[in-house]
Amino acid sequence: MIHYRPQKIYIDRAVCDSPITKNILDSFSDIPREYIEGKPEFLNTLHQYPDPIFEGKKYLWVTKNHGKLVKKCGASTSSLQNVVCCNYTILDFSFNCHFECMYCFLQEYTNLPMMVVYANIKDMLTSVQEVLNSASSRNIRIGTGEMADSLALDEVTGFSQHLVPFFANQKKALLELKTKSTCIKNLLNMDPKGQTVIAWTLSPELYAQKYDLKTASIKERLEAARLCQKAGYKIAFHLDPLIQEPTWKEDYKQLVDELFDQFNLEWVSLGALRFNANLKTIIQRRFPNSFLITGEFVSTPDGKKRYIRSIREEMYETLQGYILQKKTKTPVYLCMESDLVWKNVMGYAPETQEALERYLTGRDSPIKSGNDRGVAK
Amino acid sequence: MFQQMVLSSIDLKNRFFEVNFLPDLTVLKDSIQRKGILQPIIVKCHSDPRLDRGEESLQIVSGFRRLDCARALGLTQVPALIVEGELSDLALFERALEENLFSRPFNLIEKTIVLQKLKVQFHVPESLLIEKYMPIIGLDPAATVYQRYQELLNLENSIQIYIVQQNLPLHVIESFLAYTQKEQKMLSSFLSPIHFTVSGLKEFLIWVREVMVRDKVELSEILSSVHSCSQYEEVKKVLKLKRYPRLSELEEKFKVFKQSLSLPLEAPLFFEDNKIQMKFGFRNKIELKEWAQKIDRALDKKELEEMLKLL
Repeated sequence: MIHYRPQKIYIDRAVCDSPITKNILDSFSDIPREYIEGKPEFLNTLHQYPDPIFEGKKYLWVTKNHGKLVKKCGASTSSLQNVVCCNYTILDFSFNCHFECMYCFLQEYTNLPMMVVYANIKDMLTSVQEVLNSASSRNIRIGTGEMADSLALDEVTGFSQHLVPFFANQKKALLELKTKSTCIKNLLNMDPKGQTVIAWTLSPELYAQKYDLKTASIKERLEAARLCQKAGYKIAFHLDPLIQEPTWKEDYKQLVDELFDQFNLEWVSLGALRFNANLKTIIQRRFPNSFLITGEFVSTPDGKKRYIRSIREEMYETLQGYILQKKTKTPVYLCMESDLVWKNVMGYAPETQEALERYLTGRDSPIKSGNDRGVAK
Repeated sequence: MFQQMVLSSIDLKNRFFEVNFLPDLTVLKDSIQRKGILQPIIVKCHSDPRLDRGEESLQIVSGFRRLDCARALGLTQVPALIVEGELSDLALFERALEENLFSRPFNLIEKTIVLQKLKVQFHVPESLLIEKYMPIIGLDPAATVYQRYQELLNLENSIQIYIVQQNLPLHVIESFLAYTQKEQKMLSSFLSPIHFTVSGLKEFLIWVREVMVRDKVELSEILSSVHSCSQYEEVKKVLKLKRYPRLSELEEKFKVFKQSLSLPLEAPLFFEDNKIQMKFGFRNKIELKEWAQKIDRALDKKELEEMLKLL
């Protein structure tokens, strides 16, 4: 894994006193810094660089998240049709990632290619508490890994030291920290009281070597998972994106064997590679001649390109078959898939978003129904 | 100082200031034949190491196309303005650019030549080149655009010619850059006889490249499979089978079953959904009854069962 080290840090005066800001500045004491109000000037010069996405990540902007701090995952709120949603809640504490995974959708955010850390942690926790106080569900899953890797910068920011104790006192919600890193040092000194799930995104080792350019290797990720499990954390895995390499059947068999033989898992998600047309162009430019985009991708109703349905179903069925052989009770779900694919692969589509949420938090069995009530509208 | 110059006194081989690529001289040549050269060319005195000590030749600053026409028409004299004084070569090049821009638009390769000459011959720093000169030739002052134009220099000459002849936009030209020069040469001879739409050409170039990467095959192998095709639609059909084998198979099977069922059926888009659609019209009960009978007959056919299995 390649650790992040910026060339320059811009600090929004509004978050000067944040403990997150302090952690960052202490960690990067030798790196030039500039205190600013508003957006960094650097953003106006990005057009001068041949690869603004790469260049932008050399700069870290520590600022305040002025937007909605806690929100629903895009799959549940957008115009997506017939996509089964797991009712996930997102806490935006950071934006962008230095790991350079070739398929990463963050590459599309070309207007803000910098690394951004939102340091108003107090506001974040207040927002989360408000959401939890008003929620009727007792199975809420809140994750920080949507617009950034949850842990890639944790040893610099120290976010987990605020989040894990906060969630340890919650009864209604689980915190999910989703990562491809091995930055678990802060985690090992805390007691999550069963309320934090550390989730690693995984693929066969060779795929990670090929497509995840700066992340920890799969071996390293699994070693970190072992340590976290030992420290009392719940563990989950996301096999996402599934990539149809020529040897995918054997490769994923080996991976599934390794995972289920060693871990008690909270949940496992499966998600076939998907991207929109704009991201395909970006991948072509940034990573010419990549195998990644050469599959049989077709346009699907939400505007994303996905492997043709028969290929996706074959991949999911194959992996689900491997998992079933393990005789595990670990909940498995498909990420951003249609109710049709759910029914064809899993034999059912969840009745409601809440039903899927209950299933994933181990409070219910999957509801084997054919109706569409779990589908995001 | 404007004067009639003897053509032989001008060094026609010196193309230091030239930015032309594949100029169409037909109209200009006709005009010169009718009215002569109306606008004087610009030349400067130039020490030529090939000549005796102290002797100078006349170097063309602008008017390359007019001079080429004059030579082709057998003219012996041309009107010329000799620039004198302390104007730098860069200033003269700027002047030549302005004169060119006044009379015609630059094609993409010419824009590339302009940028390259500014960089290599006149040592203009990249930042100045982007901010000052790119807007002059109609380009966005962005490093990404500059880089794209720099990459065009790597295109094989026959592809550069093809691009200019077909007046292709940059987003299509970029697709050529994924190929080696040897492959580009192969492509140019394959593409020339076939009429491609702009979007069709882009699709062709992307599909071929993706098949090469995915299946680890040589370009020559793919081109030989479409060698006998003379129309783009034929090329596309063969290529689609390679690029989208599973989708093509589903579509082909659906087509066969549809023919057998004799019903106006439509497959779901890319088979993402599992719903077949049927659309028909009728003007009276008799026509509706005919449709009902056709549907009724289809219900007993095994092809309908097979078609439903495709979903």
